[in-house]
Amino acid sequence: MPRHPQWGVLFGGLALALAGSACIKRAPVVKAAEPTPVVLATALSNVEERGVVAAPDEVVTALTDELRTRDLLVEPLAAGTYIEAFGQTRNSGHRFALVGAQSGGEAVLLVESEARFSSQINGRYRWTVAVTATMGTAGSELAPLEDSFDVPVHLVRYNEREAEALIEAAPVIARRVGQLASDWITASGAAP
Amino acid sequence: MRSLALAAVALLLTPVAHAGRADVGGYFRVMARPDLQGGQGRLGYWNLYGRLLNEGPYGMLELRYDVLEPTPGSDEVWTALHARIEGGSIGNADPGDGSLELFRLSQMYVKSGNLLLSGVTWQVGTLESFFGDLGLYDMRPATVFFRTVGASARYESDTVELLLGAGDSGYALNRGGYNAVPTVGGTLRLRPVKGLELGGGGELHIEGGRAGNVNAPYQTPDIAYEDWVRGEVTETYIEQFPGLEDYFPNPVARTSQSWKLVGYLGFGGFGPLQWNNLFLSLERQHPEKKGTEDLAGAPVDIYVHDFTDERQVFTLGDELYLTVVPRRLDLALGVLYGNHTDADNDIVPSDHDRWYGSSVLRLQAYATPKLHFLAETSLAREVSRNGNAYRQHADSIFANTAGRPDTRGLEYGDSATRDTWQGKGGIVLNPLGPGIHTRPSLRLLYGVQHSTQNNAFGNSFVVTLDQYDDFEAVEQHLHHLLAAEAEVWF
Repeated sequence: MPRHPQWGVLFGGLALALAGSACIKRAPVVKAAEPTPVVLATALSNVEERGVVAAPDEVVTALTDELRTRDLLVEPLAAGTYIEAFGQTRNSGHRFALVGAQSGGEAVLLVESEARFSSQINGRYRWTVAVTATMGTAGSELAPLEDSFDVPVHLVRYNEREAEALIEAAPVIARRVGQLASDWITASGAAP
Repeated sequence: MRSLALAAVALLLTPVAHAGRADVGGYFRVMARPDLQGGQGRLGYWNLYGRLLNEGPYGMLELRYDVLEPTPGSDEVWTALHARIEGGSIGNADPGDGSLELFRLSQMYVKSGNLLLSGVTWQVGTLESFFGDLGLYDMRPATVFFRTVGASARYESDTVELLLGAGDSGYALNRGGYNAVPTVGGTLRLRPVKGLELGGGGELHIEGGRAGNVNAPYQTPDIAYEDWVRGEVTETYIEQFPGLEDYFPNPVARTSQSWKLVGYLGFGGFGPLQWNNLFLSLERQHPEKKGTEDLAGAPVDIYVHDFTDERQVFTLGDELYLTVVPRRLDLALGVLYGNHTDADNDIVPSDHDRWYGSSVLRLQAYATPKLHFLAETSLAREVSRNGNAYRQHADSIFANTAGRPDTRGLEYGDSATRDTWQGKGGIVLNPLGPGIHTRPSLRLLYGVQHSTQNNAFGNSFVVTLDQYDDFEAVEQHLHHLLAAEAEVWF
């Protein structure tokens, strides 16, 4: 193999960059003053049916892990207590009130999602997951905080549908919900 | 008053279709691969050895605009416009330097659902549809309507998807001059149980001619296949009929046919098997139209329908994905076999008369959710049916007949076979976590190739043994590349 000094420069620069990355400090996460329970309700709908299902376990786990870093302890609400009612209304305010009525005064996080197929792109199936996350406490003077956003995902197989699209979007959803939770902690006075 | 109140309530409860929502997505890959061995930044010639380090830059932008958004759980009509621009050039990353001349509006169509028939989606415009993807190769053998613009209807339920379409492939198949090529086809996909899918389909193109249409299919009579291959049709004619240049034979009308059959089998979701995709296709390629030679100082068209109407391509590809160690190690294995046959050609090595096979194995290990290590190896063989096609050494012969130097020989080089091995490895950073398919990916990779062919990669080396040339021929069978790459679907 011919000797090329340029490769030594490339490898050396890479090693330096990797070593230096270990020294970068990360910004602290906003945490609650004390471990705070949060009732979680999820909903996944599609454009073809009126019915609604709860989000897959993988999504609930991602949300739980994200909120735990903020000392928020997720208590998933049993889907049977609200999912049928969610099929009758797609209004986030109504849904939040339904869940709030079952929260026993604890904080509520409602994550609603709708997955829709878009097109075939370069070998993959592009779906768009529209998400609305609402966080607050029923009966509180502070109005619930809301964040709505779209997450594009690119599934590999045709047989992967709405549930797989939501699972694929979970890292982004968890991150956005984490930011919403941080805002809620600050706004509600739950911060130290 | 009471009826007015009821009407108002009904109006409030009636779902209303929403309009005007835009969604932008796409794909791109960009890379820096300084080639220190005189190549052009790709490890090998093509994706047969795996797409990694063998592809150049690419960009794709797709817009979806909802004229009428779908209303969940209703039969309301919905309509969306799709437009796609794509091309293979990015500034500073390839010879095109990102020029927009290398991009095109490749797809544009309107989709509308529940229009006339509930559960049916109509599409008018470009119609491309595929069953799936060999991701390791970036190939989609089971694709239909790739070249067709027209109209299709798709019915979909939980277990069945039926697509029927018709249109025109004339502009795509006749880039030298348009002639209509009516096309019909469709696909059927079944999902009988969870974890199993199968499907099939095809398309048919028929191109006729109208008297006097220079873009229709024809055959120039009384010419030999070998003369056409050598570009000596007019030369032979003058030898046989001196002084009769004005009586060169007129072309005779033909009807061109081509078709494609595709099949698909997918299964998985049990044990460590995430999924396995099997694709196959059998295609009769569309005949060529014409070439041009010089006759008595003037160009003359040589029509070649009969010389190019028996080209067939069979492709078989399989790809499986395994979870070796959950959340720690994934494996992807792909195999590809292609067989190109040309019943008209027995004399000249050609891409239309060869077979090839390859296998690609990729492992991706997740040290942390975002820091991964990738290793990939591939092995491929390509065989030319009609004799030598590859030069194995810097001093190998050029034109030859059965390995004996012959300036009139139709063979090239000293081998009919090319064997290639590639190995690749490196670091992958995935902001969205683990997964062999997860993107975006930032990759720092090293690749090495060994080929039986000399300098088996795009290069600018001289290919001559002329002792007076300014540059010497180069002998290399090992090719190394270091690459920094980014790839994203968005």
